[in-house]
Amino acid sequence: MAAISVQGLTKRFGDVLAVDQLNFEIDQGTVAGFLGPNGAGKTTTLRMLLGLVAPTAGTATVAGRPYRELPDPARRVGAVLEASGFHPGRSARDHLRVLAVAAGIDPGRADQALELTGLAAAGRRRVGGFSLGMRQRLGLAGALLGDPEVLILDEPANGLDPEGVHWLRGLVRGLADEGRTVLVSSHVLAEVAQTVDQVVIIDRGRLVAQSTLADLTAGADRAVRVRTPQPEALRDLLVASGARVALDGPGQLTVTGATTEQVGQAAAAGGVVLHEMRFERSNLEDVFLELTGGKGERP
Amino acid sequence: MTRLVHSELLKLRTTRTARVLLTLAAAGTAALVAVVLLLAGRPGQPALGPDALRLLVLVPAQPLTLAALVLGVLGMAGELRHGTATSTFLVSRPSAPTPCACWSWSRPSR
Repeated sequence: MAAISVQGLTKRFGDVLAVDQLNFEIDQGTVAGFLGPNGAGKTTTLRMLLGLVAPTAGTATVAGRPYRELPDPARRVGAVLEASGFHPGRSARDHLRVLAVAAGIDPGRADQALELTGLAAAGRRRVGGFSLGMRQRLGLAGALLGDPEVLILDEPANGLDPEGVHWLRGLVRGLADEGRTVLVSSHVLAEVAQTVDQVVIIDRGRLVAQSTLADLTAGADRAVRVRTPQPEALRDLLVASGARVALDGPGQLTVTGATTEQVGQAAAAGGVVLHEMRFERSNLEDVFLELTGGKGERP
Repeated sequence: MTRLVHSELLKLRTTRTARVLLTLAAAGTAALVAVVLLLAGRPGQPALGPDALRLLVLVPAQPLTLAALVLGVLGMAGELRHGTATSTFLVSRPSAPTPCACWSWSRPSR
């Protein structure tokens, strides 16, 4: 059974179709990246998963049930939606204790959650004085209170410094290694690329791709970068063999549609000297921009 | 439901606003009781008897009622302003929708 399942999910706000017939499933124990440009419908989808927004059509289930039908939701699902939801006058520890009491969890678990998220020293400080990164950590501490099997994180890396992003990456991987399922939305593609097992990409509310990271980038165009003192001669040779060649700068070529072996053979056959040749894999960002047209929020 | 009530009471105990407001209400109540007792039997004022007793019960109730009202308004407004209603809604057991939950439910976001 999939840990997270979205079937035919649709949400309309007046004239705006925010999510349109979305389908995807996330298996248990995997870390899935939920990607899309601004306004793609990521947050609306997550809010529907969490029972905060009523779908216009379709179903969204976590652990086999709609969120509001889970008997003890905090013990099954932990969620971080945004770096808010804290009373500025309440201490971090008290914020977690309030949540723990509402969820029927031992309030002593608040200290463990603070420890887990590196906030133990700041536990008695008021949240109003917290940085954005500290608020993100506190949100994560709240999500981990019930030791849930599924985590739904909306842009958790927002506001974190490089050390914080590194920490988050380790935390998410550690949680997945314990058998938990993590769905993490992000626009920091480099961060997602190093953390996730699979990606779900949406654009304008529709599913664009769902695949493992390796499969997604494997099917994309790859490029061979070449540095040579005879760029024109090499270009002519490669174009004649059917490759696409772009002159990037003095003595530099980018070749697509050919492998390094083919480029090397063409250079040898034409007596072209090569100074450097390297194979460049398409990364997640390239694929993402290609799939979504590289566009952000549209009016 | 009991969990939610305990959680709401803990919310009140863990912010300065509630503590200050309740302290002021208690101080106001004590002051009013003191005034009623001090003025009892003075010219133009009823002596300690059934009338003064009624005053002793009714007058202190006013600041306490006002404090409870202000606390309720501040608490509700704070839930919406700081978005704490959402996290409470997420961790609580399924139940009939509350006003906060309905607000959260209807909030459009992308």
